[in-house]
Amino acid sequence: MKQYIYKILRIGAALSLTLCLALAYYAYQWLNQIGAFHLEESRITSLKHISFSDNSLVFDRSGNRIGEFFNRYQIFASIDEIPKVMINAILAIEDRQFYKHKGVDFSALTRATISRIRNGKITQGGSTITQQITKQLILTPDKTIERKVLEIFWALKMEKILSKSEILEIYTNALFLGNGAYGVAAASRRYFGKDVRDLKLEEAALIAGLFQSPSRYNPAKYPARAKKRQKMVLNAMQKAGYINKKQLKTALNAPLQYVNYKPVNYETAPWFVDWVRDNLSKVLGDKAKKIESNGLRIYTTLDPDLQIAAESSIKANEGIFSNLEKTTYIDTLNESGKRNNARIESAMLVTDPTSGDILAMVGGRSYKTSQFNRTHSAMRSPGSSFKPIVYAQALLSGMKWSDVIFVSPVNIDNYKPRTPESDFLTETTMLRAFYRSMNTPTIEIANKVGINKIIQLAKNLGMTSPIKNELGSALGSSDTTMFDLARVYGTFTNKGRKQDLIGITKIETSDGATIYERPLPSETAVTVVPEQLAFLINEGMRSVLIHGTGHNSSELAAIATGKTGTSNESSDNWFCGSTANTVATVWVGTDEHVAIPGNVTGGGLALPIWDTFLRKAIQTRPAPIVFPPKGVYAARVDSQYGNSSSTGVKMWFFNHQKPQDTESPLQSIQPHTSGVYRRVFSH
Amino acid sequence: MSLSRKQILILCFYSSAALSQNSAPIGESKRPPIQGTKAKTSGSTDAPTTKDSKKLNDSDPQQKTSDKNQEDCLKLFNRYAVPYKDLWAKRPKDLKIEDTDGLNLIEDMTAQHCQETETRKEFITLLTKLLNQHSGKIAVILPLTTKIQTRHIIKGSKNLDPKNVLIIYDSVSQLPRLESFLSEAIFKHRASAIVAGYESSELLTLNEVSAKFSIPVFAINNPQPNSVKNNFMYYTHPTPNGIAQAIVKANKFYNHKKISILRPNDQHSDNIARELEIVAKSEGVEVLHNVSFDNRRADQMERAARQLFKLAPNERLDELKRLFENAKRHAAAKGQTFNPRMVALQPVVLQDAIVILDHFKSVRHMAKIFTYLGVRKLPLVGHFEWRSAGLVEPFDPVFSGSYFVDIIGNYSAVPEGLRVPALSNQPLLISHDKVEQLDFSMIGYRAVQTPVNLSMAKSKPRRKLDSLIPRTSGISAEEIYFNDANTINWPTYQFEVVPRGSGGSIILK
Repeated sequence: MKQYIYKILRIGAALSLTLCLALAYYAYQWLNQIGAFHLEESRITSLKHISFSDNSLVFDRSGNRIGEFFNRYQIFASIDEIPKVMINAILAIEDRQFYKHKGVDFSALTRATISRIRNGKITQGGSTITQQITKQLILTPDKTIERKVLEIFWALKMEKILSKSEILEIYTNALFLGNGAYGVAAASRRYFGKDVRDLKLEEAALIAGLFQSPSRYNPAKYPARAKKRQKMVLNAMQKAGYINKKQLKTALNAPLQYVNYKPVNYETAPWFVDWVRDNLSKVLGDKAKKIESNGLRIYTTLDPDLQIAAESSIKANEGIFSNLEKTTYIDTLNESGKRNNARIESAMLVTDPTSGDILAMVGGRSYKTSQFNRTHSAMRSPGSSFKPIVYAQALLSGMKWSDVIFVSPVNIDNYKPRTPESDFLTETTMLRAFYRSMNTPTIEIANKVGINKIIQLAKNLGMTSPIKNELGSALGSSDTTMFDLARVYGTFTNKGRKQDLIGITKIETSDGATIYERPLPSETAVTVVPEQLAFLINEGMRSVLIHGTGHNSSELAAIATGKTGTSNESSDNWFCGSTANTVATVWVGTDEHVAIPGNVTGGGLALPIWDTFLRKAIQTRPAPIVFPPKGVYAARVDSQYGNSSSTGVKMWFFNHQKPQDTESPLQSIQPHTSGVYRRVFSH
Repeated sequence: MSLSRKQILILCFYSSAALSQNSAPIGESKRPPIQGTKAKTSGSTDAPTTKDSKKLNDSDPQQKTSDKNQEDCLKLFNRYAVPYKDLWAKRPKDLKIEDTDGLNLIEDMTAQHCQETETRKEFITLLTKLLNQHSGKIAVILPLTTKIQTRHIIKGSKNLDPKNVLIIYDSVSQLPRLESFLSEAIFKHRASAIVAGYESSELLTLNEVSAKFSIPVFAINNPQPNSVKNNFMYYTHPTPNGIAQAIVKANKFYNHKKISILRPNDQHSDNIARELEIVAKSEGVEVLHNVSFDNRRADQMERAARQLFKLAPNERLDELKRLFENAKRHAAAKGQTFNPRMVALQPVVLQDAIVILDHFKSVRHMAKIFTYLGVRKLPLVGHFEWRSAGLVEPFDPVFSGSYFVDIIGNYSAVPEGLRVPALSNQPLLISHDKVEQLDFSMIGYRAVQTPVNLSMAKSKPRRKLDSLIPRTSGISAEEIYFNDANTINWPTYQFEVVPRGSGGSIILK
């Protein structure tokens, strides 16, 4: 009997052994199949490099941080920089045995498994910090047996390769904690607006609570849940002995001061930061890959004072915009069947003509409302702000400011530009036509000198937008960008030397190596028109402020010059003005290109903004005095009839030009009178 | 020179005879001829004419009875004494005249004086002197302080006054002052002729005085409508008719047979245009339009211009609608936005030339309006107000071939003393600030030319000076004569606008 029993036992044992061996074999086969024995070490070591992944930062010309580029909002903090309270909070809630286990806390895992079997759902976590890293950074978050088994294998292996500090550093920096933030330092900045080193107990506890489910406990969206989770963390800390009851009580009662997250990009010059990001690839070429996360230090031309001045100048005119919006409509209908009101927009670009530096950029009234950059991306009709190019070509072609033009309706090949009727039946010098922005004389001049030459000159001066080969382009009918206009006006201001506009002066890697540096302005300047011509045009634009469409800012004429521009139906309203070291271009209109009623003009809408800006700008950026170059001279000339007159306006001429000496015969009959030249029959 | 007693009696006879035949007010044109005289065929006169006087002088004075003398004296009194008394009463208050000629008699004179032989003789003697004697002086009465251009007239007048015969008065545009100076000129200075009448309001008075006192008056003006012709009243100003004649002559020269007239809405342009229509019709030149405009308003100028080329609103509405439809279809086919401003009717040009009776500035603007309306090339025609450097500088090629007329030709041919230097680059033009000065100087020059000649004929009774006034055309166009309407001739000259280099110029045709 005994023998029989032993025999059965032996057979049983043999079968069990065979079964175990089979199981072991199949387990081995299965583990082998899922790759548990082929874990690549490099995947673990690469996690260490997470410390080298950093946001790229943008700085203004004074060194202030004005922007960050990132795919993930991340601020690296070494384990030494992370405060003890933060570490304790994490360990208390996520892995109390962190320093004791070898990657897997089998007792915790068993408890979790039993709990799951009993309750049919996950009631407590059994994963160690190491396992969470493997789950988040190496494996997928799938809830399968295979993944769980691999997680254990990876965790065990990771613990062999990395130190506990390294693992903890990766954990505190790499995991998503909600609101776009990765890592405790980024979360600290996002939720509490402070450096991680400055976190208080209650704040650290809140952040530690986010690891389990950042979205579920997001304090920005679910503050009550977040608070409950924070309480759980604090209790765990007290239970683990990291804090005492008093600390617990204090922390639980401490109010949490969240900050509204406002990215730095939005704070100072959001459109400019966007433009810098777009422009990086142009500057860096192939090196521009992974701009966001390779920790570049991008130094720019932006002048913080001028940027503030530009934004506030536009804001100062909000009242005017609001009033205009009441009567400006777009073509769509609202719910009550009435046309929708249009939003009046405005933009300003400020540049340094001598270097091409972009000093300030305001792409619209509100970045929050519209991120569209109207300084760079909007194609708009420049209206009369194109005219300096026409008159420059006229002067180049041998005409002079004192040349007389009869102002009457004009029809050239069925093109019939408009000029205010009050100007008809008058005569004018070319300068007066310019500073009063008359259309028909300008068209006649353009027709005389040739539109092709004007277009070529526009390109030479810095226009890059296509210009239609038609006379209407002389009045600004071809759409262009504010960048183009800033380049053109900059060229005139910079004595005929063209500078391309630049925003980035230097780019460094995070370890300080310079990978780009702008060339010296003297190396990039290209002389495109004679200095004397540029001076004559600039002085013509000074007349705009003294006598013309910009006379509301005549006080600034001593230091500034400029030109108004208004497109058809006032859909675009410009003022492009400059001092010797600052070009400021202002636009007001609507994104829908609709008409703005009320006979508004560039002089009425854009000029006040420019005026406000310039008065602020010269406080920090005084305008140098401009001296006339050799080869030009000034004379007093009758503005209507072009003859020398001691009571006339100041006109500048090339040395070889001369205004008419004798009084013009045109003066014998005053405009808009039924005057008689020879009163033989009318005495 | 004084008249003989016989002559005085003849004068009395004549006067009484004339008075008996003519009791109509002075100025009436139709009245039966006086006894023993031949009726004039044109115009009329209250004063004795040269022919009448000759006949009277040759007649035998049979009626010498005292009664008859009294009757004649009364008639003479009625005819002359009343206006003489009136004018004498208007003499300047401070006028000092030596009473040698018995002028005070006028003041006290009544019909009773004709009953007394002695006083009758005094009266007749005085009248005779006043009508016949003249000093060789010429009274020039002009509104010197109120019409500044009259100073240029004086300048032109003085250019012909080597013997200083002119007596200059400033009427200040006031009729009482004119009458006062006329009184002084006639009674004190015994003026041979009077130059006045710059103001049209003075012409009636001057016409009366010239007739009553048989004193030649040269008005710097044109005859007024319905004014009575009088052999002592002459008009020296250029006339609208003269300008119209010159324009039509030029039209014919260029073979322009159909013209349209554009004129500013003022009286003097209207006068010229009216004359132009009449002259053109008589010369076979067809006037298609005569349109006025306000040269202070571009819209009105454009509207006037549209009328000339059948571009007035609604005139070709159907054609315009068709154009719109075509343009819309065309734009749609090309995927373009329809622009109604690009649709315009083509002008219908029926005229050979367009006469614009306005100054050069207005004309230049009008020419641009023509171009604006699509009229490419059309000769433009004008008058003296075109003659300016402003017409050709800066040059508008649209004026090439256009022409105008003027009353002054080459400035270098202007009488010395009045001459003004031509512009250095335009030999037929002068500085604009000298133009008016020269115009009125020339008017003054021509106005006094005949009076100065008359003043030298001191031996001729003043009442016969009219016979010395030239009536037929001289050898040169500049020579002065007066036509049947007693209006002076003005020469006219024709100019053409021509391109010159990059600019333009004018040439004398």
